[in-house]
Amino acid sequence: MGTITGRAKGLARDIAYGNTITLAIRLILGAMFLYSGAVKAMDPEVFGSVVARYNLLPDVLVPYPAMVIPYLELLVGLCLAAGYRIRSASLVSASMMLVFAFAIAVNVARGEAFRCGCFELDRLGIGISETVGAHLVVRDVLLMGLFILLMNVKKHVFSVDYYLERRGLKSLR
Amino acid sequence: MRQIVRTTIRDAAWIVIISAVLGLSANTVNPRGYSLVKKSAERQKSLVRISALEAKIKYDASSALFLDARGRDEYESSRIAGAVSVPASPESLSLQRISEEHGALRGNRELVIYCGGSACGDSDTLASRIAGLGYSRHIYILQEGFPSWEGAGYPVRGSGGGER
Repeated sequence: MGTITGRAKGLARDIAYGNTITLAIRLILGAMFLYSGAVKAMDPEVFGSVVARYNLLPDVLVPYPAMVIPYLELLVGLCLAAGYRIRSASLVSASMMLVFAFAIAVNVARGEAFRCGCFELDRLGIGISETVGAHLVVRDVLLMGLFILLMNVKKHVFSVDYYLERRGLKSLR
Repeated sequence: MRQIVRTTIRDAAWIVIISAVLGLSANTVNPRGYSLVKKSAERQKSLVRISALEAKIKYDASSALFLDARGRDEYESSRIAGAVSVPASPESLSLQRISEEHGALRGNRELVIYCGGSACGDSDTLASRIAGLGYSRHIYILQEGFPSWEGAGYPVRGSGGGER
């Protein structure tokens, strides 16, 4: 029992410091954002009709998130995948997850059920439901947790940030 | 520590600003982008929600073309008699069907779009897409979807091919 607890603590310490698990999380989340951002950016009006379905903004404001969110996702996806400005990209991502979770929760409470326009995973035909529901609120909160984790990781292996930091340290010697 | 927090927030703000500039700029050159002046509002106005009874009046007058925005399986299983299948998703199939039905969509009839209920969203997606492609006639959305039509006992065609 003590060994298992010790191993769990060791793993938690490794994750907090940064290891292949945090690398995998960063790459998967980055790829997810790149994919969903690209799909939405191609057709802003279709994404706009989804934003309008949430019924949280006046009609006149609907086009703006429909135009900006896809590029926000593309940019943070790129930053996360390349490992550049990871803390800031994770902060933006965690904030987006908070907003999305809130928007979905409000519509779940209203009894609405429509495609959420989140990561467009249903387009991949792998049986992942993206219909507004409590499970999506939970998913977004969990993703927010992962972004907060990435924000606090000390060393991101295979990242531009890590490379720049090492180069900076070398030049100090 | 304070320096790290400050840098993180500053860079996050930059990410948001750059995204906003990119998004707004890309929209101006995207053929499917938003027209922020007038045009979009006109498109919104041209989408009118109607009840099953109002749709039936158009059906009886043969003044409207009914578009089924649901998936192909649901369409095959049961649909409004005479409706044409134009699934709202996947987008590639949807655009392909719109292009195949180009002549009918450009015809003299109004368009009535329906999906699986009031909350399915497929009607809105398809209506937006068709309006965005420049089909200027009035587009009607069957408010409560196919169940309201079927529930009212209006003409439905099933998988057996029979009308009821």
